[in-house]
Amino acid sequence: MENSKKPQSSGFAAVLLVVIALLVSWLWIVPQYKQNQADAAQVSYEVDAVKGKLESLKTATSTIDSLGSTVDSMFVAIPKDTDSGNIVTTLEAIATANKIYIPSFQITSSSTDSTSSPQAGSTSTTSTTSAEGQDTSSNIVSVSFSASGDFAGLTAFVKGVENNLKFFNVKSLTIASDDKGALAMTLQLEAYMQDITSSLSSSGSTSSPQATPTVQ
Amino acid sequence: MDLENQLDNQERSASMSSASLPTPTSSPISDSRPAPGSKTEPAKSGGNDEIEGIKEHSDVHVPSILLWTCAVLALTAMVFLWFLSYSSAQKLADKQSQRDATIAEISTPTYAAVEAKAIAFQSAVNQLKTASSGRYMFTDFLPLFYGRVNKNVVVTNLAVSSDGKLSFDGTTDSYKSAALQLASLQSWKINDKNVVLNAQLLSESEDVTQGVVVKFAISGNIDKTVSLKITPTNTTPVDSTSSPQADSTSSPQGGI
Repeated sequence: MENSKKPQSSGFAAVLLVVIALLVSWLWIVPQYKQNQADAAQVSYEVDAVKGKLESLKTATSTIDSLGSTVDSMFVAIPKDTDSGNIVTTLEAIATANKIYIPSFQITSSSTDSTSSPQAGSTSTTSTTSAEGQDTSSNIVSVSFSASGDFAGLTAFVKGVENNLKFFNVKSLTIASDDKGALAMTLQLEAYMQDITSSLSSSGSTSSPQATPTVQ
Repeated sequence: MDLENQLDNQERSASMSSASLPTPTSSPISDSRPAPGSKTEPAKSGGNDEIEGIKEHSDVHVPSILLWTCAVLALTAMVFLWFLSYSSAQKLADKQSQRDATIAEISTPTYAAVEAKAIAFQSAVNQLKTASSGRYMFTDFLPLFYGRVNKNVVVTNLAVSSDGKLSFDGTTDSYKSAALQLASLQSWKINDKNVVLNAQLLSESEDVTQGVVVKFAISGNIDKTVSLKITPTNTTPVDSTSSPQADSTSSPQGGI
């Protein structure tokens, strides 16, 4: 009688062990393994991305170093903000050098979320009025002013504006003369500022310089 | 005597075995026993016991061994899977630490500054490309245009826009001079291409209060690709120190 019970209980224990082993493997070890594998794949992707970003930053560092002062010149040509003070200073300097008189400026800057509300320029020589106006996609700073002087001076002034390190785009030019022969010129210029958001969206979170700047 | 021994054996085995065992008379072993009188009968009787015992043992132990073998295999597989899971967890931890270390490296102020500068530079380059693509230079246009103005014509108003529209008001001494001025603009060519397109005389009027003065207005369109289009030589960086207006036009950052 005892001899028959021992094998039965022994067999039951073996079956129980098999069942336990299967259950533990199926319910705990295998899911954990799968989860680890999935997490490892995700982390591998993240590691590759971060390494790529690090390499990109290293490349950007070397590129910026190799470009030297060109980068700073680029930031003068296309500043990060309206930079109206520098616009006025630059135009006044050009005008003074060419004996041109500029009675007023009107600077209409743009920002990404405001609407255009141009304001009249002041009549004093050096003062400006700036209004936040927008051309949402282009980050354009519109500059309007009148200048008076002789023809040679006005021509040299236009040349100075177009060849300046700060980038100006002449949109319209009007020259009128009065009865006394004095010339008055009205210029509408466009200056530009950086568009960080579009740059981020177009090139990802990290962009390395890829083009040699062309500074006018 | 043999019969007695057989009976004794049966009694002994009956007393030791369970009640469920078959009776000696119905046992197939007993049925296969040799007939009484055989000389080998006592030895065969002991062998039957061993065979019976082995049979009883084999009925129970073979499945048990198989079950235990399966159990050992299952446990081995479980341990193997656990080892795989453990090693994958270790690899995961290593990769996570590697990722965190790299993130910490690129989050340093140095790289953060480089990233900000690179993004700003890229933005400036893109903006400059866009702005340059639609840019037309007026620098050369004004001297060239006034070179086409006849000597007896006074320009009272000249308007040029970047979209190429030209408006020209002037005075001269006769209608003929106004027509000649129009013809001068129409015949203006650079590289065998007309500069002013669709030029027309809009109006003429004579004022005799201060002598004979003919006022006229001319409009047209400028072929910007000929006269105003930016030339490749103008796209090169301009060194502020080499510009005629270097000292005066340089911005506060002009020395950079």
